[in-house]
Amino acid sequence: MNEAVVQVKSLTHYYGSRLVFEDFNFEIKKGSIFGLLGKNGTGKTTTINILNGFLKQTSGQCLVFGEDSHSLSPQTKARVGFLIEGHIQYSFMNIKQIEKFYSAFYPNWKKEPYWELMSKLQVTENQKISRMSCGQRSQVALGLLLAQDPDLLILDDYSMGLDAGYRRLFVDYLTEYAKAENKTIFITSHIIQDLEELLDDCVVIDYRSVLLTMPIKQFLNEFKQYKCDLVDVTGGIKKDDVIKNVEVVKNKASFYSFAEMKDLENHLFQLDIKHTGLAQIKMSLEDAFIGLTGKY
Amino acid sequence: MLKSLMYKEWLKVRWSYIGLVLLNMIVVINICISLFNAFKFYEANQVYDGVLSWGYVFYIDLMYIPLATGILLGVVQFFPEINSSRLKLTLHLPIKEIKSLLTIQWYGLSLLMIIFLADAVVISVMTFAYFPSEVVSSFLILSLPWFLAGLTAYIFIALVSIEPAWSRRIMLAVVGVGFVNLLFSNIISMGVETLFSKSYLYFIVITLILTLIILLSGYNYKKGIR
Amino acid sequence: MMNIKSVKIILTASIIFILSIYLPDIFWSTFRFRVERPMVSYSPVINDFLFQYSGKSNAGIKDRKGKTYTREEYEAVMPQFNFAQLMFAGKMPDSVNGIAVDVPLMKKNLFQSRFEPSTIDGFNYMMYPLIESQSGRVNLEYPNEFFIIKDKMEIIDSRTNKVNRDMTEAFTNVLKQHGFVFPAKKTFGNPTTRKAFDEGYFVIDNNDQFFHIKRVKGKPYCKKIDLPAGVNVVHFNVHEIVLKEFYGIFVAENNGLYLLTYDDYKVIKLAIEEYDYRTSSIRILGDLFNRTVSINNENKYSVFVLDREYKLKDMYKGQVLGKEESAQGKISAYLFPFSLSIVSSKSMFVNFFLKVLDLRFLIVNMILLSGLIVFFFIRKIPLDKNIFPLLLVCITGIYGLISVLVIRDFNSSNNFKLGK
Repeated sequence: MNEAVVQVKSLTHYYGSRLVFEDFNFEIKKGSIFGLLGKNGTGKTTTINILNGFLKQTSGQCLVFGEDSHSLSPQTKARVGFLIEGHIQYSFMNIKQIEKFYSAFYPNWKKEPYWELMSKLQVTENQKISRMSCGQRSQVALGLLLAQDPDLLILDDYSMGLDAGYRRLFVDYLTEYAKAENKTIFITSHIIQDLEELLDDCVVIDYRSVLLTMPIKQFLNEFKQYKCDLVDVTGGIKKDDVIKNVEVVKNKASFYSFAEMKDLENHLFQLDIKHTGLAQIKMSLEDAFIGLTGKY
Repeated sequence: MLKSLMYKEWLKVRWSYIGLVLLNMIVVINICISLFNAFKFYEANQVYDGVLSWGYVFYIDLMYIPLATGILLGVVQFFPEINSSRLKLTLHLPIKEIKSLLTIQWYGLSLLMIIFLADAVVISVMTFAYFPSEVVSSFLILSLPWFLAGLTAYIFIALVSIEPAWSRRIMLAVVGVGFVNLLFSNIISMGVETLFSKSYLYFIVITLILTLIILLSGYNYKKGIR
Repeated sequence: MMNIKSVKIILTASIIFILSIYLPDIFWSTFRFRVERPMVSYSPVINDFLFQYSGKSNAGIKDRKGKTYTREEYEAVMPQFNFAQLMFAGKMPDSVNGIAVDVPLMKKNLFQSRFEPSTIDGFNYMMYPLIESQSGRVNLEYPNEFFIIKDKMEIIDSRTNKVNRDMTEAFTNVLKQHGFVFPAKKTFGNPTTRKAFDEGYFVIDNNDQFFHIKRVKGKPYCKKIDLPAGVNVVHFNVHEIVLKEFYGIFVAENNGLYLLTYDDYKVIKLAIEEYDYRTSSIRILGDLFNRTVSINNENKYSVFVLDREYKLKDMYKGQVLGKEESAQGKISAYLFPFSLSIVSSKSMFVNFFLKVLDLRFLIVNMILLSGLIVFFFIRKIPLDKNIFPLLLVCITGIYGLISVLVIRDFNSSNNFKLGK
């Protein structure tokens, strides 16, 4: 039984009178690569801030290595690596100074992975971080995290501002890192396409509600997309328990559902939606995400 | 670890700090030169008369310099922390947050105190060359509130920077201006003579106590804005 | 160790501290109150007091009976202070009260002396120029030597900033011979050469004995002045005037006002009342006929007129509407439970001056408290878990209310802190 590295229990948060989420629950087990997926503004950054102790939730509990996320002991903080959205770093330092700075805080500091990454950037030791490009800065941030060698890595939107090359680089390193030493990773992102190979588990959130919490493989297996032609185009088709989402363009309809094809057939029949040519379409993670949360 | 933290602060402020040291030295040396000139152009007993009987303060140019120094150092040290949430990096380091906040603040205060000590020593030495020790002690008592004002302004700039809620920031700024204004009471009433010789210890203690409020601003930063 | 609750208390205290200084300050700056105190003089011509008001409502000059005087009439009955104008207008009298007068005579007999609480409780280096009082030259010369009486009478040459050992030893020994106990507590004198002659300095030693010290032909002059029992000098104004009746005027610990005469340093006590050197301002005006002593206190003023023999001739006691009785004063007494100031008109030093009037502010405090309770109801903040802010408003009134509302840290019913 893997220990739970992060436990979120009945987490509720309001900004003033606006509800962000209510009774949010999930658990991240050791060694899992966990994704918090959702559109912009659904509460991902809120969750990350609470997890890192920079926002006090309205109610509920958030535990990291068994400690309340607001009062982590220094020893626990050493085990947690944190990437801030936008790869924020002390930009007044150069890459040599920043490595020297951080190394004093972490007893297990391994400078080799950091310098290995830096050598690939082809910059000098005196390269000031403020003068680096977005992509190069992301490498610095990644290098520092690898050198810190934390048991839990929290990455708030690692992909922001990065082009495809750097994004892929990140994912490659993370995967290798996680598998090598059974590390736990928590990622939030709204760019889904890179994450399909990386994630083990995910939770998908929408405005004010949690849509699902399950392993990626299960999500991709059970959530299906179906296409068909509609006979009768009048009358709208509403979302319900079975039909998680539906899109109609002219007379072509796409249905997103956890149901098996025959159960969907029955359901459509009951709703008196006449159709032909119902077939299942294979989806990528991104398709599934859009299917679940909608295009708008 | 705290050494590394101080190293980071130094990297952040070093060029500005050198600039502030230069500014202070220029002002202080100017004061020394004008004192030298006073004794050159006037009779010694005339200068004594001016200082002892008429309350002529030959170092008045110093008055707002510590305040400007404190404000500038505070801005250079704390604005980058708040810009793009870099304070989150600092608070995430594996040290007790109380320790990191107090270390950063006291590092800055120490840097300021070094400059102020230098200001005081240079002027004292120059004064002592021309005047008996009573004039030196009068200088120290008269200038102490000016130095405390620099430290206080620095403290409040840190508080306003770290505090996330705007309403509280304004409140802290108002309180900060209030405290700094008190320290310039020599211009509120009766010219330059109003002296802190009976109460300077209390004001030193007040300034010390104010250094604790940064813990509350840090606590509020971690609570976030709701 | 350090917890957040204590820091919040520190911040609350700081806010209340600042508010209690600045709110009353802003209040009084906005609703300015000027004490309408007349300038009182005594006319030897009509042998009556003249009151000069300069307020907006009642400007003018009146005597005690209520008769008004124009400016010219006033000048005519106060010739000693207006001789320039009177001579210019050709109205200068030859005699006043049966005594022949001319301008030089009047000028010779004029003097003024003032004592302010802030000067008495003020800073002075106590370092003075050691003026040669008998140089043989008609004008006094500003010396190079300055002295300060510490563990010895230290004499410093301003040109070198070094102690003149010979002079220091000479003066110190003479002082010791006369029983001077070092260090001096206070030294009084006029450190200027713009005077008719120099009488040196008057010094209180460490045992509250009183001395007269001078530089005469380069040598020390010292005289121990024997004052009547119970008379301890607090502040001495030296008056080196041609009149040569007294060395100066001093205020004593017992709030008496004394002249130190040339007659073997005998003192004359001036017959005054209502004087407290810590809080009253006093002005002594001397002319050919009288000595007029005006004493100003917070809500009253008194003027005493003594003749040249120092017998009390006349007196007047008046009341003024003080700050506290004014409309603003009453409002501020209700609004501000206490007010703090770090400067005072009664002292030159910065200190903490707390003013608490009486308990009437509790009425306003209760109103503010009810306002806070209503606020709690609207925001659904439980009263029983938030006793501290309520208590604070109860005691510190408006200061507490403002600090509570800006810090905004209330305990909600589910043990989570609500704050914006």
